[in-house]
Amino acid sequence: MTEAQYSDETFTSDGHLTEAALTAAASGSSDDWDGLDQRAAQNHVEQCSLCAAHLGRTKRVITALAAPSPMEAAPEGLWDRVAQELQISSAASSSTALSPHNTGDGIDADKDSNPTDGRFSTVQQLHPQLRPRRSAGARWLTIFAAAAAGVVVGAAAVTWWLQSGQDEQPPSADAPTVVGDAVLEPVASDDLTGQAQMVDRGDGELELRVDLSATADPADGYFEVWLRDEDANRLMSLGAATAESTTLQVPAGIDLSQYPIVDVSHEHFDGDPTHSGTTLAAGPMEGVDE
Amino acid sequence: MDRDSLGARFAAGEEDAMGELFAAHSSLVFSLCLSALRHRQDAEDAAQQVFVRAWKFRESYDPGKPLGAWLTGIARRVIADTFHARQRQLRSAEAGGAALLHAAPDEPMDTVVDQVLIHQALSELGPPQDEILRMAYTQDLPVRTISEQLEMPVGTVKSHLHRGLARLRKTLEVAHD
Ligand SMILES: [Zn+2]
Repeated sequence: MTEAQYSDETFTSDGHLTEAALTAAASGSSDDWDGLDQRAAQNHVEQCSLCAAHLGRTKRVITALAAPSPMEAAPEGLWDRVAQELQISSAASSSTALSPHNTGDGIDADKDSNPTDGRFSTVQQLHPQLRPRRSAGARWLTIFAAAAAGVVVGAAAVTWWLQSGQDEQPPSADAPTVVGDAVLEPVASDDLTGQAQMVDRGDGELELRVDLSATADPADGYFEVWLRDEDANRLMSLGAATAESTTLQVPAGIDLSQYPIVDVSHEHFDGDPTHSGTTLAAGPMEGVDE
Repeated sequence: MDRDSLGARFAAGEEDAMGELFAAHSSLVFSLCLSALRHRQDAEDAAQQVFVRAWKFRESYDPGKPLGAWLTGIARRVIADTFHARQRQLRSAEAGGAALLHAAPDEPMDTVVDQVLIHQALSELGPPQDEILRMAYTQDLPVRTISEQLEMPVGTVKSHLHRGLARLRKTLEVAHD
């Protein structure tokens, strides 16, 4: 059999299932049985533990492939931390270790396509001087979260850690730090859930990393991520969540205490930049105690 | 890169080998931690622990075995430790304090490991097999559609699918033995 030739045999010469039959049995698609003997294959699997094991693994492969790729490059700086802890020279790493953006569809892919640049410049300018004041030590703000448009966030106080530190030396100048975390619960959707993390990139810029349990059906609009207050009087779009994992830049100068809720709305391609009013999932941002 | 000799040099304690090991497997380890823990900072800490433990226990590594599978085993233990730590925090948390992080995996650990190992292996298959598998099983396109889009005979597409699945299956044989 030549490389590219397709075999339509059900059994190999030594009597086990061919890859074609294993694939058909694992995929559950009737098309795949074209030209193969499905009944004979099924009978064989019941009696052959080798083929049953192959079939089980093939099913696992297909199941894993159906999930979106979970692959992300290791964050920059991780090698340095490992090398430092082990007290080995960080120069020991080959150059590939130092280029962490070489795999798959990690968050960095989204950064460039973030459509929000400029779009919210007006919002940015509303709060130019409200940037968290840099004062010595961490500052905690306590915000009482009310029930937000259908989201019961409970009477629990939402604590929002505002980063600070006059020494303008975050823990490490280039180490991103998670400064807030929100669990997103379904609101107008049956099952859209997610998690959002506010990350201080270490260079003074903030970004929100959003992980959602699903993506929008492109035929039916898109998901947009917002920061807002409980009553949605203050509302700021961070941009579209085009993938299950999306990283969105948070405009400089925003006073986060004014926007304690992360909101994911369902938007349509209608040219209207305002919130559609349909919140699919939302949750309060809470401080992360490092 | 010759992974066998990398394994041997790593087991022998060469610092250069540790750097190469990190370069080759950091995405696998980090993705595994992130998928399981669903928390970036925890995942970074866990991934750091995995490599630290790997180096400290390098003498327990059998250079005849794949490094990725060995690191996956360490990562499973570090992830389990992280979940245990979260459970302790949860128990000691004040009543009413909101639990920020899940104290147990959202999905069975085996499912998470399968997803990371398979997608890692997929990216190593190379074209056109990786793309054909993605079209068939991630995007759920019929073979005929793939054949038309890639201007490739149906039999060739099927052949790539069968061969690709067989290669990915091998990843699981190695990882869970
Ligand atoms: Zn058999």
